[in-house]
Amino acid sequence: MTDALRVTDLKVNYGGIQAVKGISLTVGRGEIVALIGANGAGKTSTLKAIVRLIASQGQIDFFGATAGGRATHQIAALGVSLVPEGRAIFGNMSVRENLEMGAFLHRDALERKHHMERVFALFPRLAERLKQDGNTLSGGEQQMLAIGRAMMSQPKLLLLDEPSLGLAPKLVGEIFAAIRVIAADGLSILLVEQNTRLALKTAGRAYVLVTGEVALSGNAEDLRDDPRIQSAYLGGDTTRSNG
Amino acid sequence: MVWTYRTAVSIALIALLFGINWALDQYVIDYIVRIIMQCGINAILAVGLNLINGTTGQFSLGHAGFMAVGAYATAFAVIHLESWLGFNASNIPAPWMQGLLLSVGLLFGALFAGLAGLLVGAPSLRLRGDYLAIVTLGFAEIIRLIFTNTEALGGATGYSGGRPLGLPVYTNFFWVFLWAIFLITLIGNFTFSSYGRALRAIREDEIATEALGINTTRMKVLASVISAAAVGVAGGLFAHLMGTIRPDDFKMDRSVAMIVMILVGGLGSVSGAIIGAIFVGVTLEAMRDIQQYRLLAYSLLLIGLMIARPQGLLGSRELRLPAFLRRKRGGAA
Ligand SMILES: Nc1ncnc2c1ncn2[C@@H]1O[C@H](COP(=O)(O)OP(=O)(O)O)[C@@H](O)[C@H]1O
Ligand SMILES: [Mg+2]
Repeated sequence: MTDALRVTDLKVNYGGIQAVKGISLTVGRGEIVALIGANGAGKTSTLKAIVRLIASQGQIDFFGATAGGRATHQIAALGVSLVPEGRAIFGNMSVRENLEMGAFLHRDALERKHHMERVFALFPRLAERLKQDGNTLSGGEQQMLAIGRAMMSQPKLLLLDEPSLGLAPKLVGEIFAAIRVIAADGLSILLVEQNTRLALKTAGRAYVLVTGEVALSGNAEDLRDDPRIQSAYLGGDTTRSNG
Repeated sequence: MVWTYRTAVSIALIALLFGINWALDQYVIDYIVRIIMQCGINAILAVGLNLINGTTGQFSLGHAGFMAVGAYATAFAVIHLESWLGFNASNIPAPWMQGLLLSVGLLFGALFAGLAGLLVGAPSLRLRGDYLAIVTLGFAEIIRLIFTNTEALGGATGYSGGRPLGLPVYTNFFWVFLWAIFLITLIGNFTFSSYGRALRAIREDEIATEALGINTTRMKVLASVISAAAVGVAGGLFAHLMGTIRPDDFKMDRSVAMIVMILVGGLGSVSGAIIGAIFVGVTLEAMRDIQQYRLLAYSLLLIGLMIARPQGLLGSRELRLPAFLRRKRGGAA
């Protein structure tokens, strides 16, 4: 079976500066793959390039179909959903409206209701705040909403950009528990994180990005034991805020 | 059932407008009726502009240009339709025919203004914020220059269809409010549909909206076309109320007046836009003698508004219709 995502020799340039220098990675079906690296390593640029929010060179395939020539909204229609860095929820719209926006491409009312109930099962707090505006939610609830909104689009591949960013440890735990539940349902997930310890605990495989290049990759467990990772990423306090 | 209910409401509405029109004709001085009509035209302008500036959050400063296109296209169509049908000074169309001629003209006005909205929107809606404001402002100036330099449309002195008495004055209370109610209902339903929700999502976060599978460029262009078409109809009603249109009727202060309407009412609120339209219609009339200070007065008003109530009178909320009118508005979701 073809991979959920196959990226080959991806390059991203900002003006004269190359932020992503020809990386290749794959996400198998039903797999959680982590993309880890320090601030500025090129993780967000990689995700944006994958959904073609920014221009890039290289080959990108989703479930065997090329991304070439497709606009961002057409990639979403292939079953790929990005949860952007910093959540990007619709602040002046209610929680319900945010979720309904996620289901814009799915008009069937019954199906919609069913998926909304699944989101509530993942994040019961959202059900309690349906009528509240997005910007009245706490940071953790906003992250739940962003993931819930993405789930409403019934994706097959979920791209998560630093879901733990700036959240208290307890909420991070809740959100990662939900990510595991989502993966157990068969979704493929590319998880971008600065929180290396957490990412390597959640993912099956991982790629380590250093200044736009893949420095290391392999099984999450092996990477956890790798001395290079231990000293560079796991030495300090991993719950530090990544503001 | 829905259809019969709607038909009944529509017929009742038309009868009501007809009755009011008759009563105004009989008992109210023309001056007041004129202000009321101007408020109706303003309401179309404001609700039209609000769709793109308020709901979608794409700041246009050039809607006077679409109003101009609508005004000229409507007048041109009415004049030519009349001569084609053999109407002239000694063969004046019956009142119902006048309204029909006007309405057909307004369809042309909407069509051409909508096309202008497409032409301006398609390339420029990729721009953000200030750039979009500047491009739309430039567009309105270009439109004004084109009309100023087109002798066939009267050039700088304005268009009156080559008639000594000017354009036929067919705009009356009935037609202003029939068109206003029609367009406001249309835009209101659009705003509260899933498309309207997508427009608001674009205003909130365009990248996130695109990532959810929505063709944001197409949505913005669609909003721009509907907005321009509505404003074009207002322009056509204006033309056949004034009896003559000049390029200078559509200068920047006209665009600013529209923006003041939606800022007063509350950006993004349809009912707020209507309230703002009435407010501006009345104050504009009150300031008739000090016209040259209009922009200054608007600036002061806006500064005051930003201090006292930055979100406008209604914010982005809506005044709701009384329950009996809201009933069975099915299919709007
Ligand atoms: N829009 C941009 N213009 C110019 N440089 C950018 C832009 N976005 C990111 N960069 C640069 O590209 C590099 C990678 O950034 P990013 O992909 O955001 O990294 P990460 O998500 O891993 O923190 C950084 O050096 C950053 O400064
Ligand atoms: Mg990042």
